[in-house]
Amino acid sequence: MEILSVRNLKKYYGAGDTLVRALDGVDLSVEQGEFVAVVGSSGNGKSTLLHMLGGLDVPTSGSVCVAGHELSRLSENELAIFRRRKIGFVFQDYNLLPLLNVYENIVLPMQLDGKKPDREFVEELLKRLGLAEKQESLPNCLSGGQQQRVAIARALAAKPAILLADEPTGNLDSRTSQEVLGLLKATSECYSQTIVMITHNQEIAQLAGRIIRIEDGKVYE
Amino acid sequence: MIKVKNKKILRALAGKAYRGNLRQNLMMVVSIAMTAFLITVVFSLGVSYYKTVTERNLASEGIQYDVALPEPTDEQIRKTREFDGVKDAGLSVKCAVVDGKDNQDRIRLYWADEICWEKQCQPAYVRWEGTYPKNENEIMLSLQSLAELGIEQPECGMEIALTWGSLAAESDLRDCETVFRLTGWFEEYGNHNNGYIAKAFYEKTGVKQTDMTNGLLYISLENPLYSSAYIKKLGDQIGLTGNQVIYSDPYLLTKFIRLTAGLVFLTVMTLISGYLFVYNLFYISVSREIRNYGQFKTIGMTGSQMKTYLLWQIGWSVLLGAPSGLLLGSMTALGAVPHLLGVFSGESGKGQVVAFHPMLLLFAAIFTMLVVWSGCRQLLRKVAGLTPIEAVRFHESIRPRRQRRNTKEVGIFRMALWNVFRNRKRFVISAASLCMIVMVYLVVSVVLQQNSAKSVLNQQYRYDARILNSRLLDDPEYAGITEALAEQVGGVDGIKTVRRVYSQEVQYDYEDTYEIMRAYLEDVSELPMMSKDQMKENLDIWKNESWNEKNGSYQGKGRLVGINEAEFDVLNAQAGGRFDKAAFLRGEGAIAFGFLSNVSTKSLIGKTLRFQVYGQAEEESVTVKWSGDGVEEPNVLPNDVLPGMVVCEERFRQVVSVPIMELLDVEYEAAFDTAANQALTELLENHKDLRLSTKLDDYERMYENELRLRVIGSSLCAILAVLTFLNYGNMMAVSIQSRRRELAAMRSIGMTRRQQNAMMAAEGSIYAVIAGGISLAAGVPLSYVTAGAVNTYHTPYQLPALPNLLLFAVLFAFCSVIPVALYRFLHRGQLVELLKK
Repeated sequence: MEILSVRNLKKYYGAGDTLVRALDGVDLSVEQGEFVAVVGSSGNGKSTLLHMLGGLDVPTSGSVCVAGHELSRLSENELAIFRRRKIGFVFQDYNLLPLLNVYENIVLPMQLDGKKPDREFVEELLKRLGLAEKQESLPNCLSGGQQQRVAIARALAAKPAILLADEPTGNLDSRTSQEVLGLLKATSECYSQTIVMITHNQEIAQLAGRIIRIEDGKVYE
Repeated sequence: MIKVKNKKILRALAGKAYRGNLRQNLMMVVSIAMTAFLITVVFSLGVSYYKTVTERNLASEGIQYDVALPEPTDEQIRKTREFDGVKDAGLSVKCAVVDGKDNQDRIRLYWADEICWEKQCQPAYVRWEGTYPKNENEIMLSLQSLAELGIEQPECGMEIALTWGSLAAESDLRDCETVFRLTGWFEEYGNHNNGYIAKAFYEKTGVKQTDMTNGLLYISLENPLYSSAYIKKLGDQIGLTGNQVIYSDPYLLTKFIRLTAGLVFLTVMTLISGYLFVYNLFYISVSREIRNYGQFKTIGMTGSQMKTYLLWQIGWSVLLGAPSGLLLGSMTALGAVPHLLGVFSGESGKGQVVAFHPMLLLFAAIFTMLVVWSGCRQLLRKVAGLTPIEAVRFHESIRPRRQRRNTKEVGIFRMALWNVFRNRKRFVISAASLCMIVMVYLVVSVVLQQNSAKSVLNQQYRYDARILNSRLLDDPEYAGITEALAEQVGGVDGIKTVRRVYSQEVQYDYEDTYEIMRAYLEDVSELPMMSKDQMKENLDIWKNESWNEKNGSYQGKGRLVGINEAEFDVLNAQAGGRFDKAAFLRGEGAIAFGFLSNVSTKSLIGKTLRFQVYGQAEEESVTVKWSGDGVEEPNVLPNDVLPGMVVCEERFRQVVSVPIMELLDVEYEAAFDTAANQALTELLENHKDLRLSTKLDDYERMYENELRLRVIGSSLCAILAVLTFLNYGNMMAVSIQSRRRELAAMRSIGMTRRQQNAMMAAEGSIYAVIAGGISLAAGVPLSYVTAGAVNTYHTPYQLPALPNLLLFAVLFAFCSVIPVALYRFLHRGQLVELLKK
């Protein structure tokens, strides 16, 4: 079942001589449960594509459809609500909230949605990600790897339609990177979770089920 | 060690940094300017208050002195001038009165000795021209008197024909016509119809300086803040005789201390507000730049060089901010506040409310420097002592706690609460400055309420109007207020109650009374204005012949007062209900009131006093059942030093064969009712022998003073509020900016803008609730203490509900709206961009 579909997506910056085509007519389709890696060198539009998929940025033209929802038709507030229900984000620098402890960070999107967190599921996630002992710790007391695992748990906790990971190992050493990627892959398989991961590292991309290359704003499989 | 010449490079580096961080530095300049502005205004308000009070005294007296001695003898004048601490003692004698235009207003003519004229009169005038009269037919008049005589353009040497009469008791000089030569004229702060004549004229009138109410020795002291003990010593030294008392204010020192305490409070609050503002901005600036400072340290900048580098920047801000603040403060003090008063009072150019002196600028500048220095000192030391690593690792928003137990629900409010306390220093500064303004407002509103004309009048007057038969003093049988008039007054629309007060002079016999009153009389002799020798002399006269030659009156005189039920109820309410109404109305006893309400009459309770009523041969008696201590006497005519006896109307009628009404106290259905006031005034238009004083008339007179206080108090609060809210807004802006990425992250995981707005509003509300709570808890007792300290009129403490509710509403609204507005302004742009920042 197609969970993500992108049609003729364009994102241009500037105008005239300074026009930059970050995305230039991207077409993409991702099936439910796929683990897709998007690779490309710096400045080729990987992060821009991810931002468009997550509704963090507005395209110049084209459409992004996630779980049957056309993102361009949603208002800013609807997009925010859509993100907390359907999309999980994992950022390179974690973006955890320093005031909330591990557990609170994880359940925050659900609580913002007025829902009661599925405690059992969260406990299971914490156990699976090796954070069971750390759930009352504040982010500044965790290592980089632990913080990224919290970010993954937060992204998965709301059982999103798609998990978008932007260079999730960019700030981690190689051993921790392997650990985090292993967890991503395992959760993808375990929960049949669709994952789109951005990376510039070919080796890391090999862990994904499907690799998409992006160059000069166009995608190649 | 070799001295390294690095001043230039440090200055250049500081200059670059200063220009590079212009927005932040501009805020610093503004904060210093605001501090300087506020200090200048508060200082000038203090001075202006002092000047207003001084001018008010000059306006009412027309002469500059501290205390005065009536009817002085030459010996007393000599002794006063020799007394330690007396600067000047000038004699002035009122000796004649001149008929004014249409025989309506009279001009009083005085003779002043050289000391009085040069040292006490001249400094009290706005201006004066000419010379003091030397010859019998020479005169000097006030501009007001000249205007009264129809002379608008006076010229020295011009001739003025006047009809005058001597004030000597047994003089034949009445309706005398003299053509005077004008030797000069003077303008007073107040408007008095008076003038001066030569010694030769004074001698011609036959008036003596020792004549009752005519001669007055004005005494200026080295230390105007005299104590009661000093005045008592002066009285003993010069030997007061008869009923002579030194006119002085026994509470002067206390009042001065209270006023000073009030001004010190305002100044301290202002300085603290300024300090918080400067500290806050410098703290924000340092927090932002601290990584750069770490880099400087890494490449070898020493702590003292770092201090110099920062001091250059602070110095430039002071150079730009302080003069602008001082200038703006001076302009406000000289222009804005008086203008505001003019606008509010509806009269442009209304007298100078705010005084100004160049020395104030110097003081304000010094205090501004002190505030800036104390605001920066601690942080300068901290930055200078910081290691490069500490600087690089510095992150202001990280809390030192390592973990926290899971909360059941991370709601928006809870997150807002955590955000408020995440940076405790920032919280303390913001909350402290908010508390400061709320407390100042609370205190100012209470003081204003306490000093409002209506509160003061309600406290001072227990009636809405008083009709006084003032001629009773000269003619104890004068029945100016008749029963018919009292009935007529009671029938006026809008008048609720008419309280009748009868009074009559009585004479106590020494043999019967002295022993009963011994304790009371001993207390009287202890009063600061009384002299023991004088008391002894008066008692001897009372004992031996009763008639006092010096006073021209009997010793042992007292007054019997009769009141109706309505008046009794007012007295009893004031006494807290301690008088037995039924017993009083049955005529079973009297309430005794002490001399000037300063002497207790408790020692008289249970005693029966025998006396003779004026004009009656038989002896009467009353038994004192209650002491009137702490209760205002119902009548106003003087009692001498012996206690006043108040009985019920029926008892009074039994004792006094021809009952005379001294006064009527009138109570309106609605206080300050203009229609009832007008009707009463019209009713009494043809009763020139009676004196009508109404609360409403006094309110109109006092309103200007109330307005002054309101304008000054409100201006001060407004300025402090601007400073506080700038401070709060600035703090909030920094807080939002430092969390920009975090806020973006929240949005990325699904927090809507509406939810973020709510979180911001909740943060502001928490500030408002905390600041409001602390201010209320600390401000109410503080306002109680301050109001008590400056409570000249003894009005009861009252927290004005409406203005304070309004304040809390404004505080709440402002604190909640500002973070939302700032968030919307500072958190614009694409989410992706905000996440990257």
